[in-house]
Amino acid sequence: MQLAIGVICMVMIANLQYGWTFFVPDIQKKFGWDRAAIQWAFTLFVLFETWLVPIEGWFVDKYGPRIVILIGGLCCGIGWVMNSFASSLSMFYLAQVIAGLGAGAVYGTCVGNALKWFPDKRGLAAGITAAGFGAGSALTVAPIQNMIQTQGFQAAFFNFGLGQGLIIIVLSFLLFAPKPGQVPSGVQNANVIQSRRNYEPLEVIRQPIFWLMYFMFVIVGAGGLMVTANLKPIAADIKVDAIPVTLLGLTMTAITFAATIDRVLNGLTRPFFGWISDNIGRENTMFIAFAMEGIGIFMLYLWGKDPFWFVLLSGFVFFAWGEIYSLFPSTCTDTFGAKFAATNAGLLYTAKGTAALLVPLSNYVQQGTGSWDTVFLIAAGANILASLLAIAVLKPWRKKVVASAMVAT
Amino acid sequence: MPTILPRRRPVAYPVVHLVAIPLVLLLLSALVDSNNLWPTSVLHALMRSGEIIANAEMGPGRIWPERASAAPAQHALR
Repeated sequence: MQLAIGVICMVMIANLQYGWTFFVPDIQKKFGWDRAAIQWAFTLFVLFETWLVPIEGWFVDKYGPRIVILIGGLCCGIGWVMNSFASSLSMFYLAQVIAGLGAGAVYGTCVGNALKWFPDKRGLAAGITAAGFGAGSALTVAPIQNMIQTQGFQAAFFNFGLGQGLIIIVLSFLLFAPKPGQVPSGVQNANVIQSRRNYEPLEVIRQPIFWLMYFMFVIVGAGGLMVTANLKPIAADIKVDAIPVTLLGLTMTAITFAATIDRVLNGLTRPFFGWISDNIGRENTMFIAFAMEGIGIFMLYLWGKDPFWFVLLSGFVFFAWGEIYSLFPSTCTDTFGAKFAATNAGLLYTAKGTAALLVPLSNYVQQGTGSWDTVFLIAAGANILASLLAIAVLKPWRKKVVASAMVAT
Repeated sequence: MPTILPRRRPVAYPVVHLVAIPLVLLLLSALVDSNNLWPTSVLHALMRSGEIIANAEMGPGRIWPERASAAPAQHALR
């Protein structure tokens, strides 16, 4: 029940991110602003959604999920309703900042709550919740597009903003953190290393093992981002972007095909690898997934000039990348306990923002060398390094940390 | 007799790390992008990082179809 409520809340905020693109052409047509200037509103949304998760997580751990989701729902609703009345760029920016705050609050709370409620299936629970964010938009793409066409983008912003916000607010009353004894005390699977001790956030960031996880998240995140975020210029540079590709009876240009497949696989991978990690252990799964990612990027470098392989391998790369959103939060909670799971996972989540700051440096390498080769090799190498760190360093180290925490308690 | 006080634990330094690491990367990114550290360059680098996450999560080219995540200068090289 708690997982279902979390997933529905995630579905409700999915439009805030995934539905935005449908509004941009109409905003541009009505106000005549530069497209890049309009998209800055979305960038602000993403930044506020990403960087404030630990603060929102702290509120979740201190005051419970209900109040944070309630305020998150309010912000989501207010953000989009403001978008419906906005007549200046700064108004859109402010609205999207508020919506970003709301989306981050809902995201961090739902993932944190899933980690607390399902200690025995933490990977799968976090994965399903994170996937709800991506998959949710599939349900409302058609109605949103339809309303934009028939009633205009402002009506769509208003109605969907109000509807989504209200649903989140209503659901917030059903959401609560588990009480002691309400959930299993821990996992029975020997492959999954779990601590019984609850570390406070300030304690967590003093643990060197947290920084190893942070480092791994940053290098895997950056490696994936370097390729996934740059796929379009890469496709254009290697001249495969406009070539039609036929797969499973569907024909599209290579870049459109890649973008479509990538979106689906990026969602599927989160519960899939989360579930695998519940069975074979987090580090073993990280080893497999990050190695797959590294090999996938390297193969994309070798064979990507063929449009067919470009589509297949970019899908493979996305599939092996998206699981960071289920593996890292569950590993973090397994190590540092469930009591402050939302804050601790949120602290680790900021590694995604740090990873994004590394990507322009890769573009600098690309400019310097004149080709994407070095970028591919760095990204593949980063993932292989992370996979080795997972199995050779993180796994034995976490065992030791968890064992010493048991002794201490 | 002098009282030996317990050594105070440095509470703040890991928080500083959590802010300093992204901040250093942000400044580096701004420097690489525009050869200066004017507030506008730093803001631009920060926005670029948001753009990168957006492009990765939304599917390449959906948010910034014209220039995706690569620097405009890089396109001029082609």
